[in-house]
Amino acid sequence: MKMARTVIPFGPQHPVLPEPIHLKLELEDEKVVGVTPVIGYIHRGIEKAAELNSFRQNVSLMDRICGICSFIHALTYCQGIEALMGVEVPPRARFLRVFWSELSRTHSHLLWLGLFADAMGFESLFMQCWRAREIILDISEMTAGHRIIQSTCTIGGVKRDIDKEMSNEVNRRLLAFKGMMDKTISPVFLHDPTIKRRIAGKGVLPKEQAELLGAVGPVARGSGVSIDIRQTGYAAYKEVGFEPVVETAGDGYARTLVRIREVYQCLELMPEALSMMPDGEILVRVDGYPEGETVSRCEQPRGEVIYYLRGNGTNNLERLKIRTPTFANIPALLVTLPGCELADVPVLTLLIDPCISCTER
Amino acid sequence: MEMPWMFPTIWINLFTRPATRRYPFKDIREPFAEYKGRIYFDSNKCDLCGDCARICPSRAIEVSLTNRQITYDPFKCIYCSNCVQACLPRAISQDKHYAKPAAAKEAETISVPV
Amino acid sequence: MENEILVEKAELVPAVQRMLAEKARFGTATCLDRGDKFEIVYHFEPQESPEPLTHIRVSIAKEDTLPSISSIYFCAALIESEMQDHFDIQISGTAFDFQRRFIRSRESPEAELLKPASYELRPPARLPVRCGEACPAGIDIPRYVRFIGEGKFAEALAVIKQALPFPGILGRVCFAPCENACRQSKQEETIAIRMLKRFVYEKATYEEKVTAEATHKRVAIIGSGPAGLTAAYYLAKMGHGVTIFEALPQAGGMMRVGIPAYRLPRKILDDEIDMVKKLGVEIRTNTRVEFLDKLFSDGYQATLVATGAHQEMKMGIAGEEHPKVMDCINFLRDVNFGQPVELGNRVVVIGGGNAAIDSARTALRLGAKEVSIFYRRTSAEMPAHRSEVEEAMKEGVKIEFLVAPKSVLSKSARQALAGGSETITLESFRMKLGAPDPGGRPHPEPIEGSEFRVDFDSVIAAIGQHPEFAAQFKLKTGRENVIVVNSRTRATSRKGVFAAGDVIGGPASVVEAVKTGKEAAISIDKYLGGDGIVRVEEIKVKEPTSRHTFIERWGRESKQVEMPSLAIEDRLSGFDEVELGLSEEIAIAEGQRCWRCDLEE
Repeated sequence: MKMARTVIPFGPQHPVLPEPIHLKLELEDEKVVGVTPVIGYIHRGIEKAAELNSFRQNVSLMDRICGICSFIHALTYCQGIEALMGVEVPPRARFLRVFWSELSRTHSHLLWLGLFADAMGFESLFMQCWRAREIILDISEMTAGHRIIQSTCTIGGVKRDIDKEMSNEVNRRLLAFKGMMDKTISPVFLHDPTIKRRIAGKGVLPKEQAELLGAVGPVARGSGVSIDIRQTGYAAYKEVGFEPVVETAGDGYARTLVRIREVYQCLELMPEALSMMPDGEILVRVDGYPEGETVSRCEQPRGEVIYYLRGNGTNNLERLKIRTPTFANIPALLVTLPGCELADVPVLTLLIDPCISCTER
Repeated sequence: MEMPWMFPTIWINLFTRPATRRYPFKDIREPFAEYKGRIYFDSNKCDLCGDCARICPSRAIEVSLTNRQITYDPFKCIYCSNCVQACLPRAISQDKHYAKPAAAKEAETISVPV
Repeated sequence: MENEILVEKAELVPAVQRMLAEKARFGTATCLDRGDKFEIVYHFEPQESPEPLTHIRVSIAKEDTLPSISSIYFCAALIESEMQDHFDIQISGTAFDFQRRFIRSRESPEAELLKPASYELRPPARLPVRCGEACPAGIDIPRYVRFIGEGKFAEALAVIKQALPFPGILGRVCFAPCENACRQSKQEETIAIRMLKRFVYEKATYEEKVTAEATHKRVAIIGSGPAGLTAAYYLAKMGHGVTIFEALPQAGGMMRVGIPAYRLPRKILDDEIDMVKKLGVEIRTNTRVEFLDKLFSDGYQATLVATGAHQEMKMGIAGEEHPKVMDCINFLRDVNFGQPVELGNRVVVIGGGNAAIDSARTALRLGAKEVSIFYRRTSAEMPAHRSEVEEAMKEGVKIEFLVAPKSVLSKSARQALAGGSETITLESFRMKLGAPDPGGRPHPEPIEGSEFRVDFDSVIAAIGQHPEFAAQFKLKTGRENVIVVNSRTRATSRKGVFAAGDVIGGPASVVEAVKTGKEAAISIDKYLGGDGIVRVEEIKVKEPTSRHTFIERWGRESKQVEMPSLAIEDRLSGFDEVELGLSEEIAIAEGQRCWRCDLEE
């Protein structure tokens, strides 16, 4: 008997989605057989706006592409401009950039863990995750001035310094945060049977498909693809030392495990970056105008972000193209969804950590 | 066993004080010293050069040399403190307190005396 | 970019298939709108490690269709759909069609906002600066101050020479309207622009040469003051033959006979005049010109009248013909030419301008014990420069405000018979300020019955000057005998005759005379058939494009340095220069203190 197919819209307004994305789900009974994504609800024309601003004013614009990955967007842009103009960033600034990048990553993963618990209906865990996130936000406010959009990265270095006293205070707070992670958050995610029943074995992405579809970030690393742009050693990652966190199962549980392990890795990287910082200046003069083209990449919490910059010797860039990680993960989403049940769709969508404001910049 | 993992947290939370502040009955905590808050213009030091208007990423400042006025819109401002750093006579300063919301979105006008 | 493969449209799909065979991962694709064509760059990552990236670049015309690679890499469908929406590019054969779902269609009015319209990409621009606009000669002040701060003294001197010929003189006597306009003057920390100009004149050298071809036209200039010398300098540089006629025994005009040697040493003045002479300019001193027609018949195709304002105005009071009442022009001229002047001990100078202050300070150096200045308004309206007044008061000159002379009484014949030195009595009114006069300043009115008498040995009148030249010039004159000229071309009412300097505007300053002299030279060149363009050579230096306020000035205080000058005891014994120059460290520090208002942030 032929089953009737229904088309159910998922999003753009949905309680679990942090940002609007529209998925047209074709269902047979309760099983998803087809999916069409529609993106573009919050397209702001940032790439075109970046051509109208001067290349220095663009740093403030890049901070605001996404709230959670804001520092790393600005960092990638600044690295691209510095490569075009041949600027060498002082060592202390590079370590500070590592510090704030890892802080952004911790913040993002905590936020995601909270939203993920909320998607499964586990609201008290959601609140605990966001309570721990408040400690990270306080650290951000103390060092950079604002809670979410740090706006400390600039062309030629960073704008703010972290001295010894503040560094000790940061370490103290990170220890308190680690305590909360150890006692409250990690055991629940890793061992709780209800969570396991919802994500283990669901949304499996085999390794070959992950490579073919160009999946990036924890989605790829959860499937066994050991790719992390931090291995290329931008900013101070070569000095700090870094190994990507990889799991091989490829299902939702593996991706959650990758993200939690990455939080612990960040908690080690941050004090190390602060203690290894040499003394010196944090900002150098950058004179002239960018000319030429370059591709600059960094590791955002969600994966690899690619920036293509092209300058023609004037104050404005000729072209700026941004490929954010969620953009590359959406095809991976489209492959994991068919075959699952309707009730799993929110959980699977959140497993790729959709940051649609980055995607539709 | 189904849910032992949240029990310690639930038990502790029953007997400790809440993690949130009961605003407006209790005031907010003192912000950190480095927090980028409200912007203030000192009209005695300003000499209407227009650097702050040129550098503002969100075009929240307008400087008019003919009327000797600065127009600042705190609702367009993104509190990035670029203007504070660019002003050479140090006429712009930034407080550490959060810029409070208002009932109407009005821009401020500051007159600069001769 | 490195690792780039350039392909034609037909080779695109095979090239991407080769990427797949090497197990590369697809990153993204960038589309660029190059005006007449689209350029698409595909970025690929190798399988094992994130680096190095490989790029494939393809160009297609705008009406062309791009083959899709989504059959090879499925995930490229999303990026191709986005390219189709943003750039209106045609792509064939996409594996997955997302049916163009952007919220606004291209026809909606908001779509206009996405177009950049016709903005021009700005070239490295420099902002207009207050000091540069205040300078009458238009020197590029922030640039030369910046060069001094970087230690590039020769380039700084070249920048000044682009705008005016006499940095040595102006570095000492200019009243520096630029320093008043400096933005740091609001905090009382003005950059010492004039002293920096003097420093760089003494420190660096500039080679003067005439690069234009000789035009075989001759120009006569009457008067060798700053206006005449500047016009001669520029006309000689444009290739004309210039002769200057000077009535006094030495060239220099008011710079020689009006400005005393403690402000402008004679050696500097002679060096600058020699510099003009080396360009081929002939200066004939002791030659007074009476008839302009004679100049034209002697073979000069154009004439510039730059005789200045050397006629003192009369005070209009009784008794001013007394021999001990002198006018400041004659007094200063005699002193500057080394002729003996008998002043006595008590001297009064009437007037409040720079000539009055010069006369008073010169009188002190000639041995007078008490020198006073009577000025009829208050210190706020005094036209003399602030720093000059302060130096005069430091040296001991007493300034009395709101006083105007009524009459000069000489002692009666009885005292003359007694053989004592002849003192004179000056009877003066106390004044009060009344309604503003047409010039805008409050008009002083005498207070009835407030006359008082003071005895002096000499009285020097320094209330103002006006031009004086032979009536046979037959030129149209205006108020107070200035020559009326066209404000743009500086041409007088007579064809071929131009005028510049004090003679067209009344007594002003050296830099104003330089400005009008330069404009007159350009205008004369155009009149003689040239193009009137002063050719300056480019100064090739790598210059910054941004002010970098945050790195350079944030947290650093800007404090003005004490300008070194001669101690009071050493000044009055002779005519040694009062201002000593800057040392190199101070000059460089001062140059770095500049706020660089001409650069963008």
